[in-house]
Amino acid sequence: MTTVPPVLDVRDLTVDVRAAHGPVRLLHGVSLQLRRGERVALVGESGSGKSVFARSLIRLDDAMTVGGSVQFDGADLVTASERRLREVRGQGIGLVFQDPLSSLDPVKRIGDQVMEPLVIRGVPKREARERARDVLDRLGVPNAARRMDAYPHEFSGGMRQRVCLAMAIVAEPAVLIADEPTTALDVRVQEQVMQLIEEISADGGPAVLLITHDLGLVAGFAHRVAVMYAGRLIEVAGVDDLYADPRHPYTRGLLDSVPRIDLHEGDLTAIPGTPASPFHPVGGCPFHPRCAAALEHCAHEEPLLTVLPSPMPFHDRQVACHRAGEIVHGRTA
Amino acid sequence: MSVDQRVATYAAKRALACAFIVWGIATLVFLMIKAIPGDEAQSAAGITATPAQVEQVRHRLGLDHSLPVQYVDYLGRLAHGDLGTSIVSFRPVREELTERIPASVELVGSAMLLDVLVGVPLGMLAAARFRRTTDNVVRWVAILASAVPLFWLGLMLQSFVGLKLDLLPLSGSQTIGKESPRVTGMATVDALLAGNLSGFGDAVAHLVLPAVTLSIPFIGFVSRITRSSIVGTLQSDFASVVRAKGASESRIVVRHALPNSLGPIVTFAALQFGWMFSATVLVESIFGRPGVGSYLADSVTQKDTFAVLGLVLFIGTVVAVASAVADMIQLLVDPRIRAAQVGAPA
Amino acid sequence: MTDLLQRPERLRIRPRVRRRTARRRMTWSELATYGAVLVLLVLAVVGPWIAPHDPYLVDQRNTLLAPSGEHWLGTDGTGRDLFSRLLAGARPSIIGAVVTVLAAATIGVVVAAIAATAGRVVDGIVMRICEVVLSLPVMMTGLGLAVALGPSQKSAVIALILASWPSFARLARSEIRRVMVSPHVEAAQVLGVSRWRLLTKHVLPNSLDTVYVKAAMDVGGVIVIISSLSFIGAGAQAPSAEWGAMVESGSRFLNNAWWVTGAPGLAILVTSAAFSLAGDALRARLDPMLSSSLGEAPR
Ligand SMILES: Nc1ncnc2c1ncn2[C@@H]1O[C@H](COP(=O)(O)OP(=O)(O)O)[C@@H](O)[C@H]1O
Ligand SMILES: [Mg+2]
Repeated sequence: MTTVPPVLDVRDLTVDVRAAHGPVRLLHGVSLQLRRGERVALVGESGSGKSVFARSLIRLDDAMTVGGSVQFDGADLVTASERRLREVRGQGIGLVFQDPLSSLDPVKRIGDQVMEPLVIRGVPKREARERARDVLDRLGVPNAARRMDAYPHEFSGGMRQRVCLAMAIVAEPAVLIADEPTTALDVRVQEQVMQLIEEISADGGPAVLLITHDLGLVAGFAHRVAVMYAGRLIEVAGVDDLYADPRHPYTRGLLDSVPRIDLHEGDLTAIPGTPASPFHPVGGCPFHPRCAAALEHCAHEEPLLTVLPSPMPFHDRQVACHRAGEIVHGRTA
Repeated sequence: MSVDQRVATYAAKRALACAFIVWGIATLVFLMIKAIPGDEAQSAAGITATPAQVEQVRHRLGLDHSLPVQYVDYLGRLAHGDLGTSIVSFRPVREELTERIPASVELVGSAMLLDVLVGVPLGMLAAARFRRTTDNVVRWVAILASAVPLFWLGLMLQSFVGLKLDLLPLSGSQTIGKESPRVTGMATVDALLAGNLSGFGDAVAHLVLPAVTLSIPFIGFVSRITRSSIVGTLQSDFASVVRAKGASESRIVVRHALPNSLGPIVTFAALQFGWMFSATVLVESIFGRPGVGSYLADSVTQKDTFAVLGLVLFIGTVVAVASAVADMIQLLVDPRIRAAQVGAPA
Repeated sequence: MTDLLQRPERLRIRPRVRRRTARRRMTWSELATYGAVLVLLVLAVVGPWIAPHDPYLVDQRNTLLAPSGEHWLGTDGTGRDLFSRLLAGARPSIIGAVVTVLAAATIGVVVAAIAATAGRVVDGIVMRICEVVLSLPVMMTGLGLAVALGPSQKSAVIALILASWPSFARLARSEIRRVMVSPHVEAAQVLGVSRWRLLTKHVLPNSLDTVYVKAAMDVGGVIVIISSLSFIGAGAQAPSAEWGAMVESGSRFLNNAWWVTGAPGLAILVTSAAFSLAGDALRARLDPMLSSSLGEAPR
């Protein structure tokens, strides 16, 4: 968009895990940039590698081998020391996970858990407590000062997720990654939590990467959308472009499976076939076994993520499909 | 109902369950008495008894009644604290037992202190080095430690540390002439109460070898329980959240995994009190400590069957109570269990 | 929304270990522990025959000899060859423990099968009995019973069987109940397969893995308990070469011939540890999930 460098610049990120028969690649060279104030959604079916992406940015799992580069705050997190990484975790990049109940230590008081990112960094207890209370207040936890002495099991699902959000932002990170933050919540609470995340990111808040499998959440929230399939980004576009004109057949499939008020149940289309698994890789385009538009060529050569020129300025978008040029609105012309 | 009331209700239920167990153990011991081959009255009166004496004992123990009546009588005697009578000394088992309890409690207490102090850090270390060399070494040590025959370990320590190196006293609970007036019956505590420092040092020195012996197999158990519980926590979702906050691995272990493992560890420690109490039978007589265990061992040697069974019943009761206490402690240390058992935070 | 996209997921931090039975290659440490157990079992059978001296031959002129070429481990307080006694003692010590565990496991499984199929009342009573017996340390039940029956090796084994079947019954019962509600057993039930057939052909074969593991794990502990009972005097009696009894009789010469006590105790320790390690390895093989909580990493 501008020449301002992105706050988070991920290039060619690869992740491997050890398995019984040698290493298995979970991410195949993912590149994604996040700019200040930007809200990006990362979408894809369950198992496509979204969580692995989020976790490997700050190298949360030592069982995973991470390659490529993750530029953040002048350092490459892929090669950074454990010590530097600990500084970035929480204070540079905040993470919110899917299940708010299992995200909280069941035997520690809420207040202590929210304060923890500050306490770790030597902020005096009293000040940390105050800041934690402020954040909880801001996130709409009623009676925050008193509730800080309660335990997680005394909170409702929605309140717990607010607590998790508070833990992620209390140290004022530059990037907030929310991995399916509403999946475990009921619909009414989902909206509130999305609203909160939007408020957090407004005016000078962190850039947000929202991970979800629910395209319905994305429309009113994100500026840009990245679509992941089989550990690869297969389409990256501005949110309006993506909804109006999805170029990858997979994206199209995802959009078709979002329930819409104007359609009846029967009209929903699921993407046929089984989702790709990193443990059973296929040659060529990873989506070709499920793709209605697949040509013979697709089974042999993997399409690269390439920039599609756009008539409108700043609306460049990227697609990884051999037939992207021919496809309009996700269907072959 | 208030939280306190709910805790009280829970405690009452647990006490009832404990009473059931004790009744069950009593029944078991009654069956064991009935399993003694030959004439029970003859055995109870001792081999030297005259036929008239035997008949007298038969009448006193109600052995001329039917089995159900005998059972009820037996429970009735127990309810009055009658654990039977030694057929060697003809003293009531309870009398001698009461004198000896403090010495055993002193030994078991110090052994527990030892194995928690060693076993818990060992388990933490293994968990922090999960599946690496240290972990495997700790695992081997733990398995070896729990395979050690206590009585043999006691003898070996006595022979090498006590006899050969002459570092520590061989047996007894204090040196004659250094005793303090008996208040609690625990040599160390009595010495402290009397302000007798040299007596205290002496009593502690006498305690070291037996306590170390008793604690070794249990160190194996404690470290394994600690390890598996901490490993479980380190693999849970919230551990990764804490890591994402920027916490170091050692902070996660100490501040999060350990508190989460407190429940299992404390429960185990309380249960262990009962098990150690029964293991004193192997240790106390070796080190000549006048406790419950050496009383039991002596009774076995002297074929004092009724004393043995009375003591088995007593130790069984100690174990049952210890396990009830374990449950109550867990209620206090773990807010989750508190929530599950009594429905609200205490 | 489609179920493909809706599938709820939970974060997994470390790879879940899937059940991979038998296909994994044996590690050298597994081989070593199984090998050690095998050797010990063979010794327990042939021990008395390969002993260089008569393990019961008293020789008052050669008491408490130090280890030498003639007497590898020296002689005991009555001049009997210690090494030969150790070999002879392998039988009561090891076979005693193996028999105890096998019998306890068999009784436990049979009782569990009855409890799991006979209805609530029987099940409730059986479980209460188990609860009571298990609340007593095995050592105490064993001691009480063995003394009541009249102290001997046989009494000790019977006592320990009676003391330890409930732990197998409880385990087997929970496994049986777990398998009973599995789809293929329910399907068989619907098809009208008889109860007995259902139990023996479908339920038991699928529920005994953990019982085997427990049995293997328990042998090491029972070896120590049996020897403890003899040491106190509630098990094998005086001339017997049972290791616990040997420790006891050797303890009188602790200050001038420590090896008379040291050797049989070491034999107990090594044997018990070997069985425990083998049990642990077997568990790692049959149930990797369980093992990851206790030790041996399935690699
Ligand atoms: N620790 C791990 N070890 C091995 N495979 C893993 C691990 N974590 C995730 N995977 C695999 O990586 C793929 C992507 O998982 P994930 O990132 O959780 O998907 P999602 O997009 O639903 O968040 C899945 O096939 C999953 O099985
Ligand atoms: Mg995920």
